[in-house]
Amino acid sequence: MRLTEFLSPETIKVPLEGTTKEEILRELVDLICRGADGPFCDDVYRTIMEREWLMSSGIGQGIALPHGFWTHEMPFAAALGIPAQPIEFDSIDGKPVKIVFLLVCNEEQTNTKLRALARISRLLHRKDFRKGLAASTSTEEAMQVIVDEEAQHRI
Amino acid sequence: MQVIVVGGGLVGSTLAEKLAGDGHDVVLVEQNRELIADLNERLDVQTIHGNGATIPVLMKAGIENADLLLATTNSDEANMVVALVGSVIFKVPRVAARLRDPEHEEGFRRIAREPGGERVAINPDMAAVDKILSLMPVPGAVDVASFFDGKLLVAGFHIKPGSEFAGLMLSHLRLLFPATPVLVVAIRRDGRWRVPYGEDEIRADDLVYFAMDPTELDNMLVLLGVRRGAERRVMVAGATRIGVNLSRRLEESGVPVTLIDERREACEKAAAALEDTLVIHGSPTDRELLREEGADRVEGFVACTDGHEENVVACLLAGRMGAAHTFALVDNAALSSLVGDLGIDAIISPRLLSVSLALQFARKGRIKSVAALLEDSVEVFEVEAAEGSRLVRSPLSKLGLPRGILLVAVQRDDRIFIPGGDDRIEPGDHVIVAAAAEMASRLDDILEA
Repeated sequence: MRLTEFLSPETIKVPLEGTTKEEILRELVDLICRGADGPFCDDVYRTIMEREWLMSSGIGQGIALPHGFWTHEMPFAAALGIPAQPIEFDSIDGKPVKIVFLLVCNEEQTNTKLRALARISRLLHRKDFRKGLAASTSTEEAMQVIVDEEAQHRI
Repeated sequence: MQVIVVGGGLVGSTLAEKLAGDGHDVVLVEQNRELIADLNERLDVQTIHGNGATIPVLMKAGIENADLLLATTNSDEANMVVALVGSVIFKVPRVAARLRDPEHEEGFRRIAREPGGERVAINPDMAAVDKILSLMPVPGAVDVASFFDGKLLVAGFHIKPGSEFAGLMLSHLRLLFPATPVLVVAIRRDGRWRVPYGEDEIRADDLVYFAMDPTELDNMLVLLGVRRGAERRVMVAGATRIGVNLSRRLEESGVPVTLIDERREACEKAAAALEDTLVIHGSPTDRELLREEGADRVEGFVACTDGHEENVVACLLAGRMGAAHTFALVDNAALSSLVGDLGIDAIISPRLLSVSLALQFARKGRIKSVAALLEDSVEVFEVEAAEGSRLVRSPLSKLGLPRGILLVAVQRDDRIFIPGGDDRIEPGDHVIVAAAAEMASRLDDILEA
């Protein structure tokens, strides 16, 4: 599984407009659900927030991996956002978040989601990759950082 | 505590060493003079030469004041006599006897029901059967122990290079399992054990012990890259006492079993003793036979012949063919250290299992149950927190627990959770504690009220 398989310039937004956790999550949900109707997006957003109430997906080092469910013909989808300013996220290390990966999947695709979460969290463990992403100022730049990283490391 | 161990073989000497390490006064009785000389050189334990099944030798060992007597010789009869003399004549409050023959065991259990001290029989073969049965539902696990009446599972897995866990930070586990407790208890890396602390990560080729809610097992297997067998069927090689008993227990739980042995007579006896098991006369290391009988599709392959090298070979054959989960009976420390990394899922050693059971018995008290993880280097205890103990009331970050001791999980009323630095242990809480073996003896100070 590679990030470039499910991330494209259409599902990356740099910088994000929102300035709160709720605003940027909503922004990324709208990005991932583009073209779908309002109630559908509301449902996806609700599953993501329910997961956040259980425990923040801010895993430290400025990274958050929020995730939820949807009922869509696409079994699995992801979006990436870099906020203009770091955002408070109740992360485990208390630090604000600079990189947000959002994942959604169908209920029966939980295995794929679990594996994707593990993979992305391992990838973001690499300091250079993390720094390159957080420093990108445009969607194209962020996409290039990912393409370069995947060309360098087989993951 | 005054402890007498009779029998200086692997089981007795290991027990004596561990219990002396816990700070008890241990006397080891052995009648073989050469073995005594070797023990004196190796162990820091008082030894007595003589037949431990006789009253004068037991008196010399201090039986009149003993709190615990462990009969661990190779002979069931001798162990029975030692245990009876200690229990009936000298009223030793706690006595354990190692008994292999089920009929001896049954006899001893009947005696154990008579009023008097606490008496237990430890049967290495049945311990092996129990261990295999507890491992069977957890594919890929090298070791399994369960706590909180089955609500928390501790299982050890080899991390394959392709596993999603390889490279994962421990702090990220809670991202993957937000709603249920999943925690790394211990890691063996480069032949050394560590109880993890702080920002550790899991690496390929680690042996990792996880504590988890049993309902997360399937998700764990996905991340581990462990598959389940194609058929819910088990193949057992060796119509030995272990093989036949294991087949019977599997039959009873509705699992189809194929039992293979190259001794015709053993096959005939097994076929008569078992109901639904398919008994095949043939060699467990015969590749063609294994394939014909479908070893490539089984969920478990257990090699428990009396030839421990043969067990290793049979497991390797079946494993390469595609058997999902392989178990080899290897009761020889040198051989098991050699085969550790060959790809056999679990090495079963009845003697080491006897040691673990006897230690559990010896250490009971405040400790409700204890599991010694592979090689006995890390121990996991279930304890009840007592009012006034060091464990209680302060936030965990203020407890000052020594490195090498980890509070794994807490059961309070019906809730099980992984305690964080701000949590406090309340009196009456049940707590799972993992401790590096050298720290285990310090646990008593921490638990003491």
